[in-house]
Amino acid sequence: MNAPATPLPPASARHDDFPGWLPAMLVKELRQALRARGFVGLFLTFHLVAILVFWWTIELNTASGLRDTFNWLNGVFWVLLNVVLLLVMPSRGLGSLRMEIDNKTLDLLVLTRLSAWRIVLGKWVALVAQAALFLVAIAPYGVVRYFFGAVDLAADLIMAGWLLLGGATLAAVCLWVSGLPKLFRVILPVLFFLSFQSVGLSSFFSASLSGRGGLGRLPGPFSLQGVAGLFLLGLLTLIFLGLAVRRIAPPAENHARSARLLGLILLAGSALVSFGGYPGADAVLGFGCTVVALIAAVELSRDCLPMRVHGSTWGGRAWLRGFSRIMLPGWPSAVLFAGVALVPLALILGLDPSRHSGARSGLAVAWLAVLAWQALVFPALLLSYLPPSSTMRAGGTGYFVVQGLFGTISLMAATNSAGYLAGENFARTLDAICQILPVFSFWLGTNSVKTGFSPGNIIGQSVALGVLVGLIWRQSRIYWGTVARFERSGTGNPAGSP
Amino acid sequence: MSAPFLEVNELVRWYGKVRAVDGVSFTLGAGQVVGLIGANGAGKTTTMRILATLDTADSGTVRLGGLDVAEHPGQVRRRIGWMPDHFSPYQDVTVGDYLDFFGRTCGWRGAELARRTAEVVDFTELGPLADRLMDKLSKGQTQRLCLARTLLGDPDLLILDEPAAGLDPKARLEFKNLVRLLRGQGKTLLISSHILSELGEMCDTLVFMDGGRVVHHGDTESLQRHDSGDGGATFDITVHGPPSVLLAWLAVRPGWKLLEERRDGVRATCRMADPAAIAAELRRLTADGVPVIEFRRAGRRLEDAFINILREGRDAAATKSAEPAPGQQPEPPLTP
Repeated sequence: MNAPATPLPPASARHDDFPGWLPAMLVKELRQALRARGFVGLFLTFHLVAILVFWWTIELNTASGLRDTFNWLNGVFWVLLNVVLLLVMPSRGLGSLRMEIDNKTLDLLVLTRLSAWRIVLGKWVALVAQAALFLVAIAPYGVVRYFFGAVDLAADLIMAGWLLLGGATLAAVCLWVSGLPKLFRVILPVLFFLSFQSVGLSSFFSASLSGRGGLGRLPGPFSLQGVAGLFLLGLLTLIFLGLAVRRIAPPAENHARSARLLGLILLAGSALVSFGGYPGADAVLGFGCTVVALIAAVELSRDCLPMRVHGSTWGGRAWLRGFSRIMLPGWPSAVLFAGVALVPLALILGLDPSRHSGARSGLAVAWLAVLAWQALVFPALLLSYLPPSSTMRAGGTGYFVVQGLFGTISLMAATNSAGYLAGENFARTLDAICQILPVFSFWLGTNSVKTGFSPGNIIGQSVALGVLVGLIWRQSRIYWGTVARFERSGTGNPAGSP
Repeated sequence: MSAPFLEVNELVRWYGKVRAVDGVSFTLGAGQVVGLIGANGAGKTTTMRILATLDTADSGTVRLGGLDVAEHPGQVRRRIGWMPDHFSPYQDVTVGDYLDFFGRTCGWRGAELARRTAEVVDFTELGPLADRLMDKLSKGQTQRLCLARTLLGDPDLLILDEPAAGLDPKARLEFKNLVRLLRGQGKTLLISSHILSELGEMCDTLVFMDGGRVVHHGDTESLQRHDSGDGGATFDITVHGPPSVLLAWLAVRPGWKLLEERRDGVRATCRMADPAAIAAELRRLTADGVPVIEFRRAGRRLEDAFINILREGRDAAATKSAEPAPGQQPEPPLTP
């Protein structure tokens, strides 16, 4: 029997009720979340605490004058809003994907017509909608402040908007973390908290208490900084949602393609915008490079064989095949993508006279781009020697652990801190080795880019580069062999052969 | 002959160093009810997960209605319904909301959604439970809900992994009836279970798996009727009084083999299976003074068939591995 797939119902039968206009996943998540005892309890507790604190603040401060009461109310209001929007609501996403994975309900979701993107997006929008509900619920407390002082409504709305957006980005981060193995679900929030603490968590909340929302006066959405901030938050949200999608997407779906296309567009845009070296150009280019590096890094941590369904086209002209090759999931394709992305970057860096002081320095800048490629792909090569199951179990975080380890050693070599720990001789030896080895050579090279590289280092680094390329070729033979088979025949075993 | 509806060809799946599925091949016609039988770790669930597009094979292909499941997972998913062995209900979601959600994911909305949901609720008799929270359902009710969800998309192929596991006898009976109804509707079903007698009642065809391989693939009826490789038949013989006389007769009578001894008789196989020979054996039995009160031809239990097939398969594999390679001297027999 070759019965056709069940057809979709006619459009007229599809939107009869209000939830019919909303995505199915969002409807389910909202129904589930708003009925959950956790949410109802949180909502009631929040109002109880807010009423008590407001009443207590008014009681204590009425005697000292309206101005003091207003400042205190303002502080309490913003602290409550910060805690709810930046801490409580995003953290509700920490169990979101994990519960689906552990209860095996994810299999049932994946088997529906919902794509992995729709599943994650539905969960994220539901979290943001709940945060928005809290924001609306807290509004009456904001109005109370009006009776004790002058409220700057526009500034308050901008602040609340930024907090909501920040919370939305954090919700995306939490969704990603929720799909990771348990160890990382513990480590990452702790690291996040510590880094937040290091940039002044206490001063953030004390600033909130002084009535400035914790962030000072933030730019409006129509200013240049506002647009940049919106863009940055939007991009970060997109990246983390993309990472969450990868945690649950079936192997047949190719999510590398869209992410890499986005990365290439962003890199090209930032490189063009930063041409000429005006103030802030380096930051723009650095941002573009970081995003592309992150997109490549995500795939560099993934060890899988290509499937026929991953490529939109396998045959055709050489340039089309080449383009298809850099858009496949799996680290060998990501190595190629990183190389392709760095070619225009190296050209722009080398050609832009504002970035160097002569031909020698221009070449050094271009060479630095090559070292950056080496730094990006070397951990992936190391991980390829481990069994794929172990790297998959680590949830793709193994790459970042290796990169972090190398970064720390590079820092020690660069700052000569190894000398304090193990003596000058050791520090000199470490520095000499690090000048040549991949990853380290890039970080140390960023110091000497203005003066140019020494010939000795370049020879050593070239040898290391040759060895690296050779090993990558050896480790990715099966991968490219499978690709070549698809390209030759246009058909083949989609699962590949071990 | 029309092309098979489901075609599994040389499927291999490794988990680390373990070959969980080792060259599994079988085909299924449309409208068939097929039982997948095997011990824990035989590779049933892995095979089913690959068929359901939830896992990918290291090599081999699966085609459903001509579509490769690895290449076209989206199209294949529209045609299959998957019921996992372990189903955890959502918290804070009612039965009605759960079905409503999965109906929406199938693309149904409004009146069409209501009609479809009502149909499956009616079929699985979940109507009175529509407003109950999922996590407050009994195991049997939860399984019925899971089946209702599976049916919402009106799939051509239903893959049910251990659907009767953990059900009480009443729920098991209800479930069996539902399978019978689905079979009547012309659905193709692939069911895995440990309870072989139930599978025998529900399935047209049985696929036995052992160590990641298919060791038998055939229709249920012939498996139950046909006793052993030598064409014999199985009989339940009941006698008046203790079966000692019967046991003595069986011990000396050529062609008979004792399978099981009971308080009032035995189960035994006879090498002769044609009716005339059986009639002659019965006459001989009574003539030799065995007080027979019942002599009945028994169908072979699936458990016995399963164990025999596994044993034969393992013996054959052992013999094959023990055979010396060409040019190699056989090992001398062990001496005490």
